[in-house]
Amino acid sequence: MNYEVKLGDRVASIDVRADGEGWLVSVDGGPVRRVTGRRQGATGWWLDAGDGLRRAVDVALRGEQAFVLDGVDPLRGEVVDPREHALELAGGGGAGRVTTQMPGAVVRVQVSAGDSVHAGQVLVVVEAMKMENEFKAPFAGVVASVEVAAGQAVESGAVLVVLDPADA
Amino acid sequence: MTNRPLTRVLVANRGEIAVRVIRGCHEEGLQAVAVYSEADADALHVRMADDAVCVGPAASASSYLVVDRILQAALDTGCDAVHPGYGFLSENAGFARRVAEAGLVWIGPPPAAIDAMGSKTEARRTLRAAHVPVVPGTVDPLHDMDEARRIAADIGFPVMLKAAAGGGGKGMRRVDDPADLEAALTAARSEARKSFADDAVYVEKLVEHARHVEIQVLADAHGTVVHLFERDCSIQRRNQKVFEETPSPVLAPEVREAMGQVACRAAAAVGYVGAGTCEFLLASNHTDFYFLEMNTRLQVEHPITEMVTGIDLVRAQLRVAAGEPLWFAQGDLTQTGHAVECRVYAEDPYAGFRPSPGPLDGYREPQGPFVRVDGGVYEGGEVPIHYDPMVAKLVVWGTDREEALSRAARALRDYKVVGIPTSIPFFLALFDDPDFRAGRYHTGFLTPAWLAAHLATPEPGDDLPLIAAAIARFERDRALAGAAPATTDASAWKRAFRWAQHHRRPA
Repeated sequence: MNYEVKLGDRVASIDVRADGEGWLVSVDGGPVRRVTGRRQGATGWWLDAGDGLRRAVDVALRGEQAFVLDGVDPLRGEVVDPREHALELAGGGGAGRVTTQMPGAVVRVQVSAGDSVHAGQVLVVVEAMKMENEFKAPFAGVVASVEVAAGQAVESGAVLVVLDPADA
Repeated sequence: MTNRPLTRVLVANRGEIAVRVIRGCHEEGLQAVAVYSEADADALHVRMADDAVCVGPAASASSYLVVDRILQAALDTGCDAVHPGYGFLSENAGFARRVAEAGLVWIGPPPAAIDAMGSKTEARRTLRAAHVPVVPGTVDPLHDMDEARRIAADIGFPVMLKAAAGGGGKGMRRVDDPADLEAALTAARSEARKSFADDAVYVEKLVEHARHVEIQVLADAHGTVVHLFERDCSIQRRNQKVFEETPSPVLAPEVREAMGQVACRAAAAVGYVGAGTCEFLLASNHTDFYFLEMNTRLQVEHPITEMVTGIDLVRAQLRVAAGEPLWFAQGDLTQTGHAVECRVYAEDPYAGFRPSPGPLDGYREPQGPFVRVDGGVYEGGEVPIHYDPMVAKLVVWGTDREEALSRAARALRDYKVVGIPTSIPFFLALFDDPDFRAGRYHTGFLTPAWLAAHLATPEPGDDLPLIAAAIARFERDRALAGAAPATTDASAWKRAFRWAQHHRRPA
């Protein structure tokens, strides 16, 4: 299985195959290394990837979102199965999904399907605690669909609005 | 006041402080009843209480702050007392009166004392009469420019002009130079008029590079008032305390003694009963101090006082409310060793401390000698989006400051919160700062520039975190596809569980 893994600024293409009690792993097409280890508790892993690369880390996955705790460092990113994305791109025509980074409640939806928007235009405002967070269009385009309504609670990673780029 | 033994206490709060109060009740042999909002149905304080009542939807204005619902919950569950915790209704004198009128014991100060300390101008007058030093200046609005000039010269520049009706920084002007006073007064008045429809402005001395040092007091209903020394709460971010320690690294014994006596005098002046805290500004000469306000409730940071004095403040509150006299005198109290508290928040230190509530996929609290965690969450639970995003308070004791800090650093590294970012890395950065380490800090220490310089978004140090994420995803995909995961032997666990069921000892 191949995954696109992004943590912080680091992006890697990682192949994983089962190998008895462990795994065979290749990072960015590099040499295949045998990884052994085990799951420990709800999110814990003890992993040994050889060459002294072994320690305890914690991993939480929510959909494609990944949260890795390595020591005290929270590393955030995603683990994507490119095959799923290939399907999406084929069907979605390069649409841009605007997603939340935190759970909250939708305060306002400022666009409707079919609206033309400019880059940086506020699409949806989501409140968490007492802070309002504006979600803006990453590029100019047309609103393909609005996936939320005012007052609705949203999870971290939820799709708020789907945009079609202006110049496809 | 006669003794009135308690049996069942309604805890009118949520989160870690509700858990803390429930623990105190159970240790005193009392039952504890929790209240909760719909968003808190699975919260730890609900699980720990002897009974629990839902008081409304998630918004606190419709649940934790609704006096009638809280009172009804207490009456319906046969409680004889109400503990308000901190925040919510804890400093609401009207609520305290309603509790008493319903025939229940209010575990807090008399409503009149809450009122007396609640109004800043009234408190200032009462306390001046009791010879409690307040920040030099006027409480009464300035009449004209002449008066402003005279008083400012009297107290000395820099001064601060403040809107009498103000708050939130509106109508506030710092004045360093007498020549700027007139323009500043005009500007402050105009801003005050626009913001509060009231152009009354008063003047106060600006206490620069001040520390925030507070004194814990305890008073019983029999006229005894004692103090339990200080807490230094000068490490603040946007006027919010994030780290506290006791003793203060800079307080000389004679200043501590003087501050303690003043705090007791302030409490006595308003007929205080129970646990309360007098907050002071300590000037940069570490000698002059000024009363700021009295918090008429238990403080968030109360555990560090418990660690160095050995006095359980919640149990003391319960006993005082039952009419018992304090079982110790001022002379019996000592400050032993050093204690620190880190407020661990669901906030992203790498994104301007943006709140980061959410599910706790993995959660493991630190343990070990002299480490205490006052929390309100558990693994598999969540930090809800509706309230203060505190995860827990990490409280650590050591024989001296250095030992306490190195132990706290160890505990922070052992603290595993998986799924949401927390302020844990911030504390480790703070502990690494040489000025902090030397105790050299004041309330303005944590500037945006300091935070930017000390908190860089972490990046993977090697490939292991990426490999771990890929393997975790691989195993999830495999489990979803129906294959048995490679590293779990489910059948062995099932056998062990069956064995335990057959061999369970009688309860």
